[in-house]
Amino acid sequence: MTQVRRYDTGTTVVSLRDHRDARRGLSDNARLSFERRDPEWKNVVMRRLAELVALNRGWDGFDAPPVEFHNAYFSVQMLQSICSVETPAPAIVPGYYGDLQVEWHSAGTHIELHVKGPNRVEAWRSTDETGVEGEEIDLSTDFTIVAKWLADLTRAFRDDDRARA
Amino acid sequence: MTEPERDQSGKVMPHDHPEIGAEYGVIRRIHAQHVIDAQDGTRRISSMAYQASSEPGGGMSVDIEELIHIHGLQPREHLLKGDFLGAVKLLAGAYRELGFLVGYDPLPDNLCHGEVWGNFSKAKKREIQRRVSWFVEIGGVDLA
Repeated sequence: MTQVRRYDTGTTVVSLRDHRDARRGLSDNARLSFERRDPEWKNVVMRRLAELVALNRGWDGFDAPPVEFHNAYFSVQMLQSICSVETPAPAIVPGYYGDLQVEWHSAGTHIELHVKGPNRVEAWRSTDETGVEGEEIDLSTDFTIVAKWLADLTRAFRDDDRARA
Repeated sequence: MTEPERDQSGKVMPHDHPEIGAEYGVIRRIHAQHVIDAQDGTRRISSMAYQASSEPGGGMSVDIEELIHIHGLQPREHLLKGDFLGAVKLLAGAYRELGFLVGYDPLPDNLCHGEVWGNFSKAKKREIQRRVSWFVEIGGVDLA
């Protein structure tokens, strides 16, 4: 007899297959497997990037190319390194030369990550503390500070959500 | 309006047109791809709407408001073609205060066409975003 128990932790599904030998009454072939579930933001991001790399040339009414694949790929890698499971999905918009911008706007905080190319990101944030001018940083491989920005935004977003509930 | 100077390939060279007065309206069309759903439930225009084109020496494509009226065109009909949902306006003088050139760049199918040339840094794009007003409004969408 095979029993399968599934435990859903939100991001991970754990399956426990327990093959019992009825004669011996022992579990002699238990198998534990983990299925990692992608966070919701990633599903949204992948769908949006698929749209942007498939834009027709001249989508802007002139001669703008679609978002370049290597920029889309890099953006996913970047977001995986800076987003948590709870980070709200960003908006993503195309630029006019294959570039793109990833952005969040929530409760007085604005974060924009302009991906000009792989490892070429202009990061900008504005909060109530920084004022409208905000703070701007050019980043290539170390996105620690942006991860912190997003952690702050995610926390505020979650608190807002709870307050509304 | 006096024809602008062109290079050998016929492309208009960046210039600041003397007949475009400081009080002239400079109209920027807003594409559907640059209207976003923000995480706070609002809709807004991305700062990426204010960027120069990819061609060498290219500026930000605009329409000159006065020319729309001179040619007897209906603004909404003239501007909202294809996937453009609305348009915003900033005076030519305001662009020049930010260090940009505002020029005339007539196209075969658009005699109102102009260009804004300059350095579209993040700070400048944000500044443009803060200063523009609706010319053809997109309902329910914030300017910034």
